[in-house]
Parts: sequence; C-alpha cells; structure tokens
Amino acid sequence: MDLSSFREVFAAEARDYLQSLNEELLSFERNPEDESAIDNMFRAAHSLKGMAGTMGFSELAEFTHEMESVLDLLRTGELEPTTDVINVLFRAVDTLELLLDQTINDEMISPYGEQMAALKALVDSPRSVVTQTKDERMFSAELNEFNRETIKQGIAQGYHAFAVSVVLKPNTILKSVRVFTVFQALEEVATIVQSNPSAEDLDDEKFDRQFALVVLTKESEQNIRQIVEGISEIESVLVEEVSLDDRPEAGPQNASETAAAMDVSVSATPVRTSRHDPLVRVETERLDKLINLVGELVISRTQVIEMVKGGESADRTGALDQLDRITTELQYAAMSLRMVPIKQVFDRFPRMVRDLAQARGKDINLKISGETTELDRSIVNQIGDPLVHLIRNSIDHGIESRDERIANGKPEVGTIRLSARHEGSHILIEISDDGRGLDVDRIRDKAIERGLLPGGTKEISMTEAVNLLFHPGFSTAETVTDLSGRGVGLDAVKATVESLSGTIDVESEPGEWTRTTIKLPLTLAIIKALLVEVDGETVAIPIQAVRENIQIEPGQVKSIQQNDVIMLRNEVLPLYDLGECLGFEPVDRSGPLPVIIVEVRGEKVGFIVEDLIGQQEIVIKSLSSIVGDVKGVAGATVLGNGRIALIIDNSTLIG
Amino acid sequence: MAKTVLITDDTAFMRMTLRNVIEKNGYEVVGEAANGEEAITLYQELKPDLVTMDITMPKVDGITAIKEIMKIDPQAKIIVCSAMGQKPMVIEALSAGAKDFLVKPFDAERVVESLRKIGS
Repeated sequence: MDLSSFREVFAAEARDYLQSLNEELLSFERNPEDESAIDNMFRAAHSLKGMAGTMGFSELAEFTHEMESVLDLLRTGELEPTTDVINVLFRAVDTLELLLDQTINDEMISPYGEQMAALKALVDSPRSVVTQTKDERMFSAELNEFNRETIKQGIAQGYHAFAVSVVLKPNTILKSVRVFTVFQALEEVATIVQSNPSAEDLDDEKFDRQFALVVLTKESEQNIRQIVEGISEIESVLVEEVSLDDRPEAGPQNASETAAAMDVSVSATPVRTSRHDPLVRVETERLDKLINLVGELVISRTQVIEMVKGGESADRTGALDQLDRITTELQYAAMSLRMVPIKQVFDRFPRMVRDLAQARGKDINLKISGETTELDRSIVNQIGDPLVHLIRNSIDHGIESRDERIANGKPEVGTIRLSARHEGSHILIEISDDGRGLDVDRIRDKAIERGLLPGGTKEISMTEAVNLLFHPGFSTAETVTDLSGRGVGLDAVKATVESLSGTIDVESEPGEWTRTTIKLPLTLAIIKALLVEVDGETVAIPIQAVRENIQIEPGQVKSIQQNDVIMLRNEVLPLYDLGECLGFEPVDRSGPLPVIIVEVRGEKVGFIVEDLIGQQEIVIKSLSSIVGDVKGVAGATVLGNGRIALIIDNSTLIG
Repeated sequence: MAKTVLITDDTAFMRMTLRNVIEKNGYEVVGEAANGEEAITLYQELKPDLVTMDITMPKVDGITAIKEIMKIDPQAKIIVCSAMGQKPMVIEALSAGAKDFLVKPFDAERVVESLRKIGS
C-alpha cells in the first residue's frame, strides 16, 4: 500500500509523458493533419491521468482529465485545431509541468483554475472557441479610455498593472463583505483602477464566486497574490500583468508596453523560471552532520561569549552580537533542513481509507487536519507505518457496518479524523473514529484466552484494557483480514513510537468513539531552555513548557490535603519542589522563593527552584543506554561553561 | 508557543463553542470577555495574539471595543464575529481595524482558517 517508493518512478515517467506531449503538440501545430500526433497526445494525457489518480494526486488527475477531453474532441474532429486551441493546449502542458513539480516536491499547488476553465470552455462549446479566448483578455478589451490612460501613466511611472482574478470559496457568507476585505487589503499597497463586475454589483452581491480587479502597484506579482491568499474564504487567486498591446503606438513608451504585453503571454500560465529542478537531493547523513556541527557551534559560541563578556568595549560587544545573531540564524536554517510537513505521510491516507472502506463495505469519511505541521524528517520517515496500523484498526475494528450504525442511531457514514498539531516542544497526532469504541469485555475474554489474565477475571478497567491492547501478541480481530488483525499491531506501533521518544495513549467511550494520541518530540536537536538551579545543579526546562516565572514568599504556600498549592490570579496551582522531584535536596524555604509555572499535560503547575539562571539554547543529548530512561528527565546538555545540565521532561516529571 | 486568543461574546454558550473549536486546533484561549469593556481591559492585561469580537454586546459594543483596542495597539489582530444581516456593522468593524470576520453560526473550518490566516 505504501506508494511513496513509487514516487520517483512516477515522477520520471510523468516527465517523459510531458516531454512527449510537448513534442507531439509542436509537430501537431506544424501539421494538423498528423493523426498519429494527436493519438499520441491523447494516450499520454490518458496515461498521466491514470498514474496521477493511482498516486492520489487529485489536482494532476483532474487537470489531465480535462486535457484528455479536449484532445479527444480534436481526435474525433469535433474541435477545430485553431491557433487558439493549440495555445490553450500549450499553456495546459506548462501548467501540467508546474503541477507535477509542485506535487512531487510537496509544494503549494499554484492556482490553475483559469487554465482549467480554458480547457473546459473548449470542451463545453467547441464552436465558441474564438469568443472564449477573447474573454480571457477581458481587461485589454474592456478597459475604458480613462482607465487605459491611468494604467499607461502608471506603468510609465514604474508601477505594475495587474489583473487580479479572485474566486471565493463556495458557500461564502456575506460575499460583498469578503470582497470588501480584498479591496481593503489591496488598497494598502495598490490603487484599484477597475473592477469587474462593477463595485456596485459586487456590493449588491450580483456575482457568483468570481470577480476581477485591475490594480496599479509597486509590489511584485507574487506579493499581490500572497496578500489576497492571506484573506479568508479565498479559493484561488490569479495575478497577471495587464497588457495594453492591442494598440501599439510609436514613441518611447511603446517599449515598456510591448514588454508588458509579452509578459502577459508568459505570465498567463504560472510558468516556472527555469526548467531546472529547484531542489538538490542531499544524503540525510550529511544533513545530520551539519546539524550536529551547528549544535556544537552554538555551545562554543555561548562559551566564547561568556569568556569575553564583562569587557565594555563597544566594538567587542558589536562583534559578539553579530556572532550571536549569525549563529542563531545558522542554527534555525540548519534546523529547518530537517523539518518537513507531515503532509508527506498524511497524503496517502485518503486513498487508503477509500480503498479499505470499499473492500469492507463500509462508508467512511476521512477528515485530515494540520497536515502542514512540520516535524523532524527522521520522525516523519518512521511514523507512517504506525499511523497506517492505527487507521486500519479504525476501519476494521472501529467503524461499524452501515446497518449496525443505523441500528444504533449513528450517522450512516463513519468518520475517521486524523490531525496533527504542535503543543509546546511536541507534536500531537490524533487518530479518532466515531465507531464502536473499545469493547472492554471482549478484550478481557481474549486476554484470558491468551493467558494474559488469570481465568475468571471479572471486571477490568478501560486503562487495563488499553494496556492489554498494547501487549505483544494480542489481537481481538474476529476475522484475520489481509491488512490488520494479525495481532502484531499495537505493540509494534507502541515500540516504534517509543523508539522516537514519543508516547501513545488510547481513550475510548464504548459504543461512541476511540481516540489514539501519539505525542512526539518536534525535533531531536536543539531547544531553547530556561536554566534554573536546584541543589547546586543546573537544570534545563524546555522554554515551550514554561508559562511564567514568579517570586513568592514562603507564607504564600498553602496546603490542600497535604499537597502544596499556590494561588495565582484566582487559580489554585499545585506546587512542587523541583529538587525533590529530581531526587536532589529540597529547596531551602526560608526566604523568597522563585517559582516557575510550567505546563504539564495541559495543566499549569508551579515548581520551586533555588535560583533562576536564564534562557539559553541547548543541544539535546540523550542519556546513554546505560542510564536508560529516567522518569522526568528528557536528556542532558553540555553548557557553555562545560558543565552538564539535566533537561527535564515536564510530561513525566510529576504524577 | 501556542498563539493566544481572547474570546469576546456576551453569551456564555458562544464563548464555550468558540473556545472548544479554538483549543482543539492548537491555540490557547487566555481569556473570555463578556462585553467590550472587559475585552479592552483583558486585552491590555493579557496581550493576546488574536481576539474574537462579537458586535452586539451590552455596555461597550464590539465596534467601540475594536476602535479602543486599535488605539492601544495598532497591531492588534481582531476577528469580528457577526450574525447574518449585520453587513453594515461588519464593514464598520473592518474599517475600524478588524482583520477578518466570521458569521454565526460558526463553521469550525472557517474559524480555524481565519485564526491561521490572521495569526500568521
């Protein structure tokens, strides 16, 4: 089922087809009687469509489908191969090339609605081809004399004239207000010369979802597009340089106008500037080495700064600040090399769920969110299989059959949600389904049968049931399917997650839902930490977990059921002694106490410390296997002064 | 660190609904205001990254609150929340400095889109 290994093959083959499309199209243009050219193009488009569909690349599949339809009409002679048609096809090939590159590289897909519409127009009314192409140039044609003059002067003064076509999302409420926000955003950087439909019609919502503006601006095409894309409820934006080419004039202005006109034909398709692959493939090993070196550099920088500090020479301070800035930037740049969006993993699931659901005769809707969440590449590479397992479990064991769902008064279509988000220095991946939940009794029976529980065990709790599920060799599947229920499931999942220093947790409401939460560290490299002192030792608290630092008097420590608490802005927070938690001497409570408010599993908790040292970037080094996992300790780091500090793991420190 | 959000609405139900959606999507709700006056006070106290602002509220209405907050912090990121048929008021709120608008009943995806786009 894992198609990622086919990506390379797909990319290479798809590029071949594109190349052939380009070549055949050229030869077809030279000789429209050439039937073999059109046949070859049709087949290339058709193959591409099939391949893209298999990989689950919906944009590519959708676009090639439209292209195929046009080619089919040409093949059957229903469409005349006019220059306009050929041009639309060429631009379609270019768009396809861009779509392919963006898909392969997991980049944002640029809007391609206009190219799509151009193809559709050819399919829908083959006879009105000429009119359609004129429509595309709506602005050249429709700009009134006054606006033409405005634009001409604007261009002469170094402004760009852009046609901005915007499509709103379906079901946008208060369309006119949404248009207003687009106007508002653009007016900050541009002058709106003309709108289509007119401003009045837009205000009266006399338009469907699409409107277009002509603007004069000093901003680049890309900036204008980004500004509009930054507005809510926008489905797509197309920004094109406006041309005034249909009325050439003599004189110096003509040159810039012609240039602008030429730009249109180029920029009308979102063409990339070069055919070279903008990506360089690098062995991950080399990357890791770089990141390790940067980590060492960060430590070394801190050492140097500490050594030289104290001298008040302005030159030296300036140079140190510079060093500090550059290393910080270098560090972020190096870190970002490791980060990839989890989309890479999530992308294969819609297709998988669809196929499996169909095979099981179930109706399942997969909802994915947070797919742009980035995390360490090495984690992304390993998290795929566990997720596949969990989703298969949801499909096989979680979601009930249609009849069962109806009988239980649940929505006919089951829902599986897959989401990812950042929480502090961690990423949370949740897989939940609204299926039948965990059947505690059945888990108990199975466990007894497998000898995991003594015979005659009566009641077990949900927590015990979950623990049993993670037990090696446990499976409750009644039928062994080809993909899940072999009983090698959850314990393998747990092992993988733990090998990535993550945790996995299952919650369930029998009959209602099951939710599995995987918590993983964001990265395995460098973090920012607050350094504090307890019992003469330096301890690092990941800064993402720190909410605030306060100072309290010993008298402010209250006690509820023998547990220390403090009041903070009308909130009662549990209070712990960080020294005690880590097995050091407790903090001396005779004077004012520094307290760090830390978030632990979503709750705020106070930790008394001896002293605050300050914030610093630290390179996480895991504790060696000799020490093994220590509760409450995430790792250790070497400080600027060469000493070692423990890094606390706020999620396991208490409770 | 999670982006912080201040919710402003005079009905506890709407605040709860919004909080639920917002928190589920990785944002931290740092405060709830039941009217414009509270929103202005809490904004200064909490310095949230984002504010959701209902329009029709007792004491100080949303539009006045937006104007006041924008005076305090011209960088404030406020998302105005309206019911259907409040178009002129939404326009006024946007002109006063609100960065986006949401229409009740809220669609979770829209709320998240708005937080994401305005927060970035």
